[in-house]
Amino acid sequence: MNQDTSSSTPGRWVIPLPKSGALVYLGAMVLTASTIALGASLDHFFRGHATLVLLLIPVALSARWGGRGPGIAATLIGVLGATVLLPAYTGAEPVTHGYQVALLCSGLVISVLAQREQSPVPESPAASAEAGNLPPPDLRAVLKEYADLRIALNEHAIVETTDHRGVITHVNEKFCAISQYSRGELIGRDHRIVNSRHHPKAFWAQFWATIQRGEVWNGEIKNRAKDGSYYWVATTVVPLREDHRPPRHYLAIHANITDRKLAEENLRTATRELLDLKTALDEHAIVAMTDPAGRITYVNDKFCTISQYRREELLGQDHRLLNSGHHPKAFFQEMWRTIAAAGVWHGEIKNRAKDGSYYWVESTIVPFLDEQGRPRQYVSIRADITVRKLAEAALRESQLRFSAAFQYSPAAIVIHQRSNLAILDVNESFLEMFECTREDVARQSLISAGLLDGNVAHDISAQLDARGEVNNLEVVARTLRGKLLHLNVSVKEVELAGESCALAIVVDLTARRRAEEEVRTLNSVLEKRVMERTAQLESANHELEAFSYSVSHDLRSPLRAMDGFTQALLDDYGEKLDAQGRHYAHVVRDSAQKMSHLIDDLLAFSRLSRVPLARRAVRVEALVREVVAELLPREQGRALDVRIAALPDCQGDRALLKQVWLNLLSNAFKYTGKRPHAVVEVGCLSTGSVPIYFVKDNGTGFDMRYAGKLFGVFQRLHRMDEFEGTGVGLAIVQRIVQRHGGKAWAEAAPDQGATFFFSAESPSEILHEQPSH
Amino acid sequence: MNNQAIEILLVEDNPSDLQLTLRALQKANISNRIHVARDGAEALEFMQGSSTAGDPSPRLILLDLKLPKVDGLDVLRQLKSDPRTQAVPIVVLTSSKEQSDIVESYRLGVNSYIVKPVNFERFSAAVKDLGLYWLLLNQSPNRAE
Repeated sequence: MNQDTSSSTPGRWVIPLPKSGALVYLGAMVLTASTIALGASLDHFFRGHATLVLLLIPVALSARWGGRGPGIAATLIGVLGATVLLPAYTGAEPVTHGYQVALLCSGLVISVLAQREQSPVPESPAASAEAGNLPPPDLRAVLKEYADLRIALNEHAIVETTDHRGVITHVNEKFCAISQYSRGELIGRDHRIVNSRHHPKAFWAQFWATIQRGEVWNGEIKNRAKDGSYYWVATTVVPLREDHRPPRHYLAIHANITDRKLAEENLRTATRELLDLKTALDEHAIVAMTDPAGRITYVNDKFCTISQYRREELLGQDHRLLNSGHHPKAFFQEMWRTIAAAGVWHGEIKNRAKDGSYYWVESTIVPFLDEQGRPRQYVSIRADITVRKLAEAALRESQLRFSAAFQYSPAAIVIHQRSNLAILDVNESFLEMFECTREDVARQSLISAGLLDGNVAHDISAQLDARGEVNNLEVVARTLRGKLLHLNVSVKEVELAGESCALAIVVDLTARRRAEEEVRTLNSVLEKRVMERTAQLESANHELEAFSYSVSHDLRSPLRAMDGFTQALLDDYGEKLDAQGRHYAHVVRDSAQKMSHLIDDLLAFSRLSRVPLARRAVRVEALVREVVAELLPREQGRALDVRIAALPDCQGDRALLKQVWLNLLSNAFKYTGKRPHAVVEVGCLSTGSVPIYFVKDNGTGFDMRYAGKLFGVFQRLHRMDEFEGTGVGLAIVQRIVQRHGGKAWAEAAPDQGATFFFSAESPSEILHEQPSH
Repeated sequence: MNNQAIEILLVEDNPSDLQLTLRALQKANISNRIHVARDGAEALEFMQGSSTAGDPSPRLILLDLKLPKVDGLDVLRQLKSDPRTQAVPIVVLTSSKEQSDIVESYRLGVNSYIVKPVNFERFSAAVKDLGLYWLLLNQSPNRAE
């Protein structure tokens, strides 16, 4: 049995005391006996009267506690114990009879008095009236009324009365019913029997404070029934007082509000859930509510954020505030039609924010109807899909781009599955190439469409397996019309939607092949022509060669005769001629000589164009020394200093270059002939990428004004009687140097020598290097 | 001609050249036992005939290249390929400076190749040198007697 130790009822004993009658009697006896023992020990101090005094305590307690009966019992035991037994035990003098009587009387008196102190069990006034306490006649009516009221009350409410301590003194049927306790279990018990522990200490403190003041207390209390279930009551506690004394009874009237309370709690729970949902929704979506006319009645924060309008600017406004102009009128008309007819509308809307920028929302508008089935408000929930829309647009554009690239690529492209060669897509060029339509290849494989031969397909597949790609494989295929195609195929493995596929780019070589054939034919024709021409040229050359050979040969013979016989004339008949005659003979001879030289030079000059140029590395220094060695013997008997510097090698025809050096050096020797000390220097300029050789002499030089004539055929800048020469030598030099791609030029001043420069290679060309011979 | 063995066979078709050559030879006092052939055929006849006849072959043949009937190179070839005549020194004496002629001549086994200078003095000197060299200095195989 749970007693609430926390409830603070003033005057209440703290010690838990048993209520059962037998135990009370036993308790009385024990208490008395112990007091006697205590008294005996204190006898020295109180000289035998201590016990008397002390005995009063147990008696009083017993009477107070248990009533008259226990009090009397305690008295008897006490007297017996203290006055008869104890002296016998301790050997003290016996107590006088008068003393005994005095004890008895005081004990009896106390017991009776204590009985009176105890609150009597409230009996109904009606019951006590029935018991025989006949009230005056006018009170009877009042009591009757009261009884009626009570019956009515008991029909309606849960009623209990407690004493000032809270102990239940009366309960009605309904109380028993709701608390599930029987009357016997309730009467005499503290009302805390139904305590649910729901209410805090402060609640009860306020409760008791109110009713003890004598004020009516109204409130709701949660109680606990016997089986542990809970019930709520709306309570009114009325303190019953006599005059202005503190209340001795409390009348509590309860109404069972459990259902209401439950409903309240459910509502609270439901409300909380809804609130949670709403918060979550506000976090996620853009929410707005409008009245049936479309005026905004509510917007959440997200709405304000995305539209950039403040709440004040939105409420009361029509949604047209956000119109972007993107959707046609029909769009909105359809939307209104749907929701006005109580339908839910879904769609994507482009709106305009306050700053003029646009945003897309995916919207759901739900109409809520009143009792007549007409919309009373619309709730719209939107998600910002601007990003998605942009991505969609970008994707579409990209798709279009790539689709265009694929379709209109000049190369023929086909995409097919690897497993079964099923054609997934082909582009326009492919269709053109294979002379087929899209229907011809739809739902076909490469083989079933007749495009590819089984073997070739197998080849390609094998290569793909091995390397994942095929590069420039040449295959033969047929168009759908049967035309043969030479193709160059490149294939790459790709994965599309999890399926292993291949992208093949096909280039038609047929046209190229034809072109190649043509080129080849042309080439061979050209070659033939070139050969013919070459042959012609060669034969022409031969003819020329033969011609110049025979010409020179035939020309020389008469010259020899001229010279020879003129000499014979001089030898044999010289003394018959005078000086003049001999002079004429000499002239004849000289002319013959000159003509001979001329013929030689001309022959050499003409041959220059015909001789092929064999370009090799030439050791120029060695060549120069060789030439000098050849020429020097003719210059015996004069002071001639030839200085040859280190000369780099060059690329050229040795024989022809030798002619160059021969001519330049013999010129140098010739034109320094009149110098007492002739100096001829051979060197090379170090500038540039090609060597520029020079032959410098300190001879007679020439006037630079005529330098242009220097290299012309038969041009001479000196008179024959000054220096002999045919005027072909430098032309030969020029011709050879030019054939090598180089240049020849000269610098001089009259009587100050001349320097002849030449290069045997052009600066930009670096022709094939041949090993030097 | 006296009946002494011919020392020089001169093969030359050009009359001027011929005269000049003879003159040069004479001036140099080389020899006067000279036989002249005016073309290649004559030259071959002479050589073949003399060897058939058992006459001793000439000690030197001066051969011009540009000859009528049988060309000089042909004569050269034939003479050098005939065992009876191949030992006879042949000096080509020609105006031609052509490499092709020179190369071919040597290929065919010519002993020397001289280009006739236009200048007569030089020509004379050359002839003189030739004669001195081939007839006096150079050792020929003994002639068949």
